[in-house]
Amino acid sequence: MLEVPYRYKPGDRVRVAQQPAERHCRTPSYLRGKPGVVMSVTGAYRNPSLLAFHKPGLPVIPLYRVCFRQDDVWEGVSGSPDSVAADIYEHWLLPADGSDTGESSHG
Amino acid sequence: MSDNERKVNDVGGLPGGPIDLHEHANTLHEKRVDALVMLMVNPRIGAFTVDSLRRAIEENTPQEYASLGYYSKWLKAVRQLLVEQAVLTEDEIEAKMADVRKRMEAEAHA
Repeated sequence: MLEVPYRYKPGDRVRVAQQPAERHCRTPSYLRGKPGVVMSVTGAYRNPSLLAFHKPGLPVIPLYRVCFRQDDVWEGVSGSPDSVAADIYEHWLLPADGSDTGESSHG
Repeated sequence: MSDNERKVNDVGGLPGGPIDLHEHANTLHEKRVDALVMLMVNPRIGAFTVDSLRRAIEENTPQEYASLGYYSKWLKAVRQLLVEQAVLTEDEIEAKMADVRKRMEAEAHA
């Protein structure tokens, strides 16, 4: 795993940013604004939004596997034991408490 | 969320009706398109990345996205990306297609 500053660690509660899609976007619309928990740190990868336009995609950016409760994702679903996992790049994640200082909280 | 915040490929969670789960054998054309893409994205050739292939596919209109098959979307994207990357020009592609069309017509009448 590449040595880059990871803002989040497994167990951290996060929320997917509610922002418009990038010109090439890997964050599905159905997860935007939804709360989840970081399951694992997947690694750091070249930025697909830049690779998509023939750029080197550097610096690499952290990617996390995030777990979302079905109840939190879909309107009209409650009491579901199921969850959905998705790989989300760090620039699409905010701390779940809503305070986004832009500072790294985990060194 | 308004539609302009959702790319044409981003259909997760939308009502979509039943999914056709029937398997079918890939056609020779589909295999050729697949092989072409695998060659182009291979780092030793590196004509373009899979990320740019996805982006080109996302640039389809909703009508194109719904009507084109999986490998037709790939082939349309390959054409666009090879021109973007100055590997081929539109004129070269059109001229080659005219050549091939003429040859196939001649073979059909032989």
